[in-house]
Parts: sequence; structure tokens; C-alpha cells
Amino acid sequence: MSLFERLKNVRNKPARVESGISPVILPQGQEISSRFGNYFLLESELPGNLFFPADFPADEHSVLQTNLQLVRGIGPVTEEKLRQQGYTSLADLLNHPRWNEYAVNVINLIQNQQINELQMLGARQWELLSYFEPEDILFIDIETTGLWASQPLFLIGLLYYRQGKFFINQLFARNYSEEKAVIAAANEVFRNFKVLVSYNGKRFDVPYIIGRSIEHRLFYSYPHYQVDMLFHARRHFRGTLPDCKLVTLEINILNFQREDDIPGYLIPETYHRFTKKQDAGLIWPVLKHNRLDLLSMAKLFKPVVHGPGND
Amino acid sequence: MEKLLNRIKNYPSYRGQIIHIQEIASQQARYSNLGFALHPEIGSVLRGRGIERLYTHQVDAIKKVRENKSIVVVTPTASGKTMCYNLPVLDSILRTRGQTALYLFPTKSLGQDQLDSILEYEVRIKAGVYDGDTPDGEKTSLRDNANIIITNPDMLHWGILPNHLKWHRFFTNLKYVVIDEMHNYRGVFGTHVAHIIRRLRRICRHYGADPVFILCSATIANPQEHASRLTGRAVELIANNGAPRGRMKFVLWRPPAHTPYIREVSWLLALCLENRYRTIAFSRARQVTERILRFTRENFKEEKYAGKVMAYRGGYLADERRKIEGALFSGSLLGVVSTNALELGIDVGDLEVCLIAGFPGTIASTWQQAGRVGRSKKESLVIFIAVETPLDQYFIRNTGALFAQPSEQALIDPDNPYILMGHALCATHEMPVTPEDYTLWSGTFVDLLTLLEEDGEVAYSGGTYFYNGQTYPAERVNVRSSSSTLFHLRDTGGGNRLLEVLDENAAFSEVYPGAVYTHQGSTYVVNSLDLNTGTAFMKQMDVDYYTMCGREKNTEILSTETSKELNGHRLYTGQLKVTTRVTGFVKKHEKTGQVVGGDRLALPERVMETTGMWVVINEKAAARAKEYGLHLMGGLHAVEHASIGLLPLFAMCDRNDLGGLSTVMHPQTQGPTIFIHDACHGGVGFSEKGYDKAFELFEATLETITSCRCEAGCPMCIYSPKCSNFNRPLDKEAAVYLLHSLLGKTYNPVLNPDSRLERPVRERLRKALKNNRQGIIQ
Repeated sequence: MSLFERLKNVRNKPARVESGISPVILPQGQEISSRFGNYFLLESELPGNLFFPADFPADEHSVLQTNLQLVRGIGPVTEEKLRQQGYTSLADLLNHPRWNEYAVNVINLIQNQQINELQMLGARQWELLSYFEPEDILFIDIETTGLWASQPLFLIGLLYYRQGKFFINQLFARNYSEEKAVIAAANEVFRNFKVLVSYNGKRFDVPYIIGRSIEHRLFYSYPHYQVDMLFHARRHFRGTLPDCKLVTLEINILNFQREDDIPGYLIPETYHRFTKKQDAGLIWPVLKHNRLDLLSMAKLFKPVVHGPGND
Repeated sequence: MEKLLNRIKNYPSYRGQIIHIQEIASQQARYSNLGFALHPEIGSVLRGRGIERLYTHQVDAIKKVRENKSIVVVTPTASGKTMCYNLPVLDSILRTRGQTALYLFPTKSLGQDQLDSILEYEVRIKAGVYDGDTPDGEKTSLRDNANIIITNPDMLHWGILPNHLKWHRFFTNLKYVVIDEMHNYRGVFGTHVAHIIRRLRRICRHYGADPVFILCSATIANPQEHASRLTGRAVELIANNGAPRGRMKFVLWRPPAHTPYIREVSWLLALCLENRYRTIAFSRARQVTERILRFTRENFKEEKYAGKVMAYRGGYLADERRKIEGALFSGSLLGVVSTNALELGIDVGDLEVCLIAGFPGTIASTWQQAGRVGRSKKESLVIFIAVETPLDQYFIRNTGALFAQPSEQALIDPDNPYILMGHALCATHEMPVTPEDYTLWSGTFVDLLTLLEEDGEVAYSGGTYFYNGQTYPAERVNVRSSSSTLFHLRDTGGGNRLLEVLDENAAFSEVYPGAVYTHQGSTYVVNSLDLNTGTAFMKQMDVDYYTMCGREKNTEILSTETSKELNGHRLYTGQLKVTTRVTGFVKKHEKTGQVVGGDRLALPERVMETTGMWVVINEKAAARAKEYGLHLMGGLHAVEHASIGLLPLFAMCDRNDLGGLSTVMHPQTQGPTIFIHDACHGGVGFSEKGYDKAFELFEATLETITSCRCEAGCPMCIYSPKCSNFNRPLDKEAAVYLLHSLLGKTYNPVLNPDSRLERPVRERLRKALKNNRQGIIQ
């Protein structure tokens, strides 16, 4: 049918009537009332362990302190030579005629917790995480109605660790008008943490939330130390695994196979349909998918960021 | 200039080509008082340049903008129109820090030039060009800090609007949108731009901005209407041009019969340069520019002049262009042969003579080209050299036509669903579409969203449309054409390297298997056309023939929009479905035009929906044509060709933007019918303008045909370069009769003084027609 004909047919149709439908209350969570309106919160917890670097950065034998390459000018070859000469830590270098001044600079940075500068000198993220506690870490994963921040998001999934347990909070917008409250609430949660961990979050999740915050005129501020697990996954597993998708890592490292997981490209239209029907059964697979993503990220944290091999 | 004209007339090649000389009087400068002071920083810059007073139109413009009224400024080139926008915008930004402005230019180079002129003000604002060539670091800096952003519609569509979240500072503070060369935004491209502007206004509204629009246009018949249609809002007209202008002689020049016009231009140019007149020659095509240059150099009596003239085209690199512009300015270069690339913008100093080789397509362009001379107080000379087309010949004969009130209109059709659909999609991607947004567009917008939902491209919920696709929608919309499919032409002799890309519409009629195609001056023969991949494979070969394809066309009327009566005949507009099938082609010898071969083709048919107009001749008139021994089909066909050739007088379009079909019996109209339709999907209003101005169009057509001195038809009256039937059958006298009937004039078949044909000539005419039909060219 031609475009002109299709248009003629459409013009003859009666106007569409949208019945306002009130948002559903899912049994697994509760409706929260906030300054920016209502939204829905699903909370759950399970036992889990968040593996973390063990040592303290200030400690002379910590990974940071023994990384001689942090000194500008010392590369792998030089480091090897120095080790053979008996210099095994930055403190040792204080006695070196050539490198002592530089070593002082680096040690100062370490004492003063200048994480960004140390990262620029080449410190590994895993090493720098020793400045934090496992309780400082927040895992995030969002679900959106599209690939660009001009399209609304509807779910911000958060995971954190406390005393042997993983706590999962899913902030869910049951319709488009609840998005603002979700983002505002998420921004509140962020303030309690110092490290944000995501999977491709540096490119997608974080800029997306920033974009939506701009859209809703909400104040945002992310001074957090950010760890993007995708970057590390590529670094360690590029040659050995077929790809670096989270699901692939899940299968190969955690030996976990998902059943009936909803494919990513179906999520936006599923959500649109849910907003019209408010049918919990429609959205449950998406919420489940998001939970599994968060849990996998937490369990894969050490294997991916630190990499295979010994500490 | 009398001296130069005498030299020309005394030259051996002169044989009375000058048809008319129009004396255009000089115009004194007219100033006006602003009534308030501009920001002191601007005031001192103007005084530094020696500008103490402003022209009337500049003052009018600045005042209106101050009152927050949107305007369209219509003034000829070199009248200080950039100050009409730079002054009020810079003044406002200096007074209210943080304000921003968006400047839109049709090409990147124009934008660059305008940036330079802003920077010359040396005021403390940040301005920059944001387009595909801007480095990434600068992009961020401009987004976050710039007061004035200069860009083009393509970048606005593809890069800026979809990323408006990054631009929130800019849009929140947006006070002015400047659109220069507005008349350029017409036809298919103009329709795209109209939607891009509506999307821009939607985004502005979202950030709480309601910018003032300042548009600038060359002289066209409908500046205010066009500006309004383009922006979707009311605009006031500023036309009180107060800029001074020196005296000008405008000469209409008809090359002698059987003389290629390029030779004429060349000897004229050589003569001007040898007499040390700084001259610019405009031609219509890049290859013609190069040939004129070559022949001009051959014409020089002394070697030294060869280096004093150069060619100039868009496509030359920026450095080269600057070099040529600078050399013209300083005088080390005496002359330049250019395409319309040099029509706009950059100052090239005081040129004295302008040669226009062939009508550049619009009257507005003609005056922009003429406007390149006469900037100083001295008298200037423009020579318009006519080419063998009905339109050029029309201007030559109707000596007032170029100097009268403008008749050509810039046309766009914001309702064309083919073009609107892509933009509706882009709008949903930029920001979910709600009913508040509908007011920026027409009902077609909402209907298209419904169709997009059917197609799964958008999702609908809660009264809002959301973008549901996986790809970046702006990439799927090609704003410079109406079809998104492009054909790739590959050189088999060069490892299949890509030669060119061609619009789908053109592909079937230009690169069919066996076609001869010219690229960069070399001829290629197409050996295959792969429709699946959209590729034509061709090989470079020197051949002594050219090819023309024959087409079968069918026009189906889908719906009728309007109709009216014209002296007993009926005219209609509406939606048409045009089906074309390329059936075969002929090979014609390059020099003689004789048919030397050909072949049948088996290509699929192409279907296009568009808008158009048609004329149905009443039975009585058709019967009478037969009584007079006239060939009805030949007459219809001839009227079709000639009208299409002259339609650009009323609608700013070109032959290639139109198509036509004539038949003695159309199944739906049940009568002899002439169709004239737009050549793009969905139509943009060209042929509809032909319906509006039907009477004037037929008058011009009749005048052209009857005053043409050929016997049985020629390219200057009823031949069409695009005819799918090899310009057969054509009956010049039958066309004259039909046009008389349409115009309500009495037609006298024998010894009619209007037709200027005598009986013996009619005998020769019949014989010529017979030969014509048999494909013999004399």
C-alpha cells in the first residue's frame, strides 16, 4: 500500500482513547512517596561475599608500595634491574641516589590518598581499591527505553555489601511520570558510597543518568571513584573468551547459565506495554534480568577487576 | 562602459548579438536614524571602519529585532545585510551576558566566512563554527561556552538536536536564530530544513526559549510567505534597501544560430581582459567552466594574459579558493571563470564586468551573479548570454522579464509525508512526542506517527510517542534528497573503485546496461546494473556516441485535490502514481546526432507517488484539431514540454524537478490529457504552482512557441532534453492551436498573423514532421 493510501486509512480511524490506569503494586516491593512523586522500590538480600584487596596501601609491603613503576621513568626493565639489586619497595628507593626524590613524591601521593594522580601514574584499579572498604562500593545497572539519553529510563538497580550479605535495591518507575522520583532517589543513595562499579557504565549508565538528571532539572554530582568492569574484562579475557558480554563471563567464570532470560532488545517495548497494562507478569522478567546482572557483577568483581592469577 | 561596448561591436565576431541594453540607474545611499545607541564596543568598531550612519533597511531590521519581532530581510547582495543581524545580535549579547545565538548557513564555507566577519568586530564574545570539521575538544568548548554557534542544517539535524541534553546551556539561553540565504531552502531540501527548524523550535520550547528569527533572502516573489512557511511562525518583511549602487548596463545577448555559446563567452571574456577590465564569467556547470577557461586562453592575442584568468569552483580546497580570492582582490588576477560557487558571500573586490553564460536557474541567482560587479562608484557591465533552452530564449525575447517585479516563488511543502516521516521519527528520538508538539506541524504529523507505530518504529503510551528503534534515526534521513537509496557507480577498470553516488531516481535512466556515462570528463560504458546491491559497473571507454533511454510511463490519478475551468477545459491538482519503465535506449553519434544503434532493456518498473496537475482538453477542441489537420498527440506533447520548460518562471525549480506525460485518451479522465508532476516523492508544490498560474504559464508558452523561428520544433521551444519518447511525436502548430484554445483566443488556421506561418511554410512543416516521425534529423 502506498503512503498516501495508508494515510487516508488512518485519517478515517476514530481518535484513540487512552484510559488512565493507576500503577500496579507488585507484591515484591513497596510504593514510596517522595518529594518528586511516587516510585516503586524492590528490596532483597542474599548471603554473599565481596572479595576485596586485602592489604592497606600505607603498609610497606602492600601492592601499591611494591609497584616501582609508579615512579615516572621506571619501566618494567628498570624495575626488574632494581629488584635484582635489592630494591623491592618504594621505601627502599629512598636510599637510591637517582630515584629517591621521585620515590618521595609517590609515597606522598600514597599517604595522601591521591587516587586519581596515582591512577594516572599507572596504579591499577585493584591496587587503589585498597583505600576503600567493601562497604564503600555500589554496583549499578540501569534499564532504559532506548540507547540514547534523550529516551527515558525506568529502572535503576543498585547492589551493595554489608556483613556477609548482598543488598539489592531496585528503583522502578511504573510509568513515565515516576522517572523523576527514581532518579532523585538514586542520587540520594549514591551519596552514601564512594565507589561506583558498573559494566560499561562509564560509556552508558553514568552518562545516561546524568542526561536524565539534566532532563528533569535534578542536581547531580558523581565525585565517586568509578570502576568499569567491561574495561577490565577486555584487558584480561579478550583473547580467551569469545566476547566480553556479562553473560559470557557468567557462563565461563561462574559456571552459571540463565534460563529464559529476556533479551535486551525486547526490554524497551516490554516496558511500554507494561505502562499501558500495568501487568506485573510483563515486567517481572525485566526486574529479574536486572537482579541477575547486579549479582553477577558482584560475584565477578574480583575475577574481572583483579584478573586471573594470584594476588 | 560605452568604450568597451563599442570595442565589442567592432569586433569581427559581432553580428548583432546584442538584443537589448537595460540602463540601470545608480541609487544614492539612504540613511536612517537608529534612535538609540548600540553598545559602545560595537559603536567604536563601526566608527573605526568609517561607518557613521546606517542604511534604512539596516535600521529597520535592528529596530524590529530589538522589539523581539522575527523578520525576513530582502535586499540584493553587497547591501550590508550581514549587519542587519550581526549588529542587533552582538549588541544584545554584550548587554545581557550569557545570551546565545544560532547562525545557520547552507554551506560550510559560507559559515567560515561569516565567522571571520564576526571576529572582525573584536568584541568579547565567543563564537565558533560547529560542523563536521570541528575537532572534538573544540566541540565541547563551544557547547559549554560559545555565545554564537555557526552551523549548517545537516549538522543541526544530525549532531546538535539529537544531543540537545549536552546543549542545555546553549538552548536555555537561545535568543536569536539567524538563517541566511533563505531562498536556497526550497524544494526538497527546503522542506527538510523546514522540519529541522520545527524540531529546533520544539527543543527551544522545552528549555523555555522562544528565539527571534532573523532571515535573509535574495529577491524572490514570496519572501514573507516562504519565511513563514519555513519557520512555522509569522515574520515581518524588511525590504527598504538603502544601500548605494553605481550605474549598470545590463546587456541581453543572443549567440548567432549554430554557434556554441561557450565560444561566445570565451571571445567576450578574452576581449574584456585584454582591455584590462576586471571580469567574472559565470557558467552553469563545472565542466563548462573549465572549457570556457581553455577557449578564453586560446583567444588571447598575447601570451601574458593566460595567467591572468583562472577557474573557480566549489570543490576546490579552502586554501586554493583563498588564493584566488586574494589575487582577484589585489588585482594580480584580472578575471575568473566560475560556477555559482562565487555567487555568494566573500568579497572579491571591485569587479567591473560580469558575463552570465546561460540562465543560472533562477532570476534571484542571476541578480546575485550580476551583483558581483558595480560595488564601487564606477559604471559596471553585465552581459547575459542566452543558451538554447526555452527559458533563456524567453528572457531574451521578453526583455522586461529579468527587470520586472519578481515572478518566481520559493516553494516547499511541509505536508509532504515522504519527507515528514523521517523527521517525525527523529523528533520522537530527540524527546518523546506529546500532543503539545502537534501544533508545530499539521495533522499529517500525527497520522504519520500512527503509521510509524504500526511499523514498530515508535511505541505509544500515555498519550506519548517514544522512539523504539535500534539505529540512530538522523542517519536514515538524507536531507539533501527525497530518496534514501543511493546507487554506487564503480569503475571495473580501476579495481571497482567508487566513482560517484547517484540518486535512485536518476540511476535507472542514466546507468542502465549499455549507457554511456560521463564522469570528470571521461566517458564510461555501463556493463551491468546490480539492483540488489544498488551498484552500476562501468568501464572507461572512448566512444563516439552518446545514449538516450526510452521510457514507458503511466500516470494514475490517486485522488483529486482541486479543479477549475479554463475557457471550456478543465484543470486539476491531486495525487498521482507515476510508473516508469525504461524499455530501451538508442546510441546517437556525437557529432551528427544520427542514430547508430541501440538495444532493448528488461528493467523493472519504478513507481513514484507524487503531486501534480493535469489539463483535460474538451472534446470539441480535440475534434477541431483533427479538422485542421493537426496532430493532437503531437500538440499535447509539445505543450507539455514547453510548459515544463517555462514553469521555472513561477516556481523556483528546474526542468529536472518536474516530469510530464501526455495522452490522447486517459482511462480515468476519459479525454486528451496533459500531466505535469513533481519529480520527487510526495511532491513539493512545483506543479501545483503551475496550476495556480496556469493562464500566465500558457501565455508565456504560446509566446515562446510562436516566436521561435524554427520550422518544426527545436530545443528552444518544444524539445525536451529529458523526453522519454525521443521527442516524438511533436506538432508545433497543433501546440499553438491548443494553447489558443486554452487561453480563449481565436485561432485562425490559415494565414494567421499570430502564428507567423505562411502556406508554403506549412507544406515544409508537414514534410519536416513526417521526417521527424521517422527519426531522420536534418
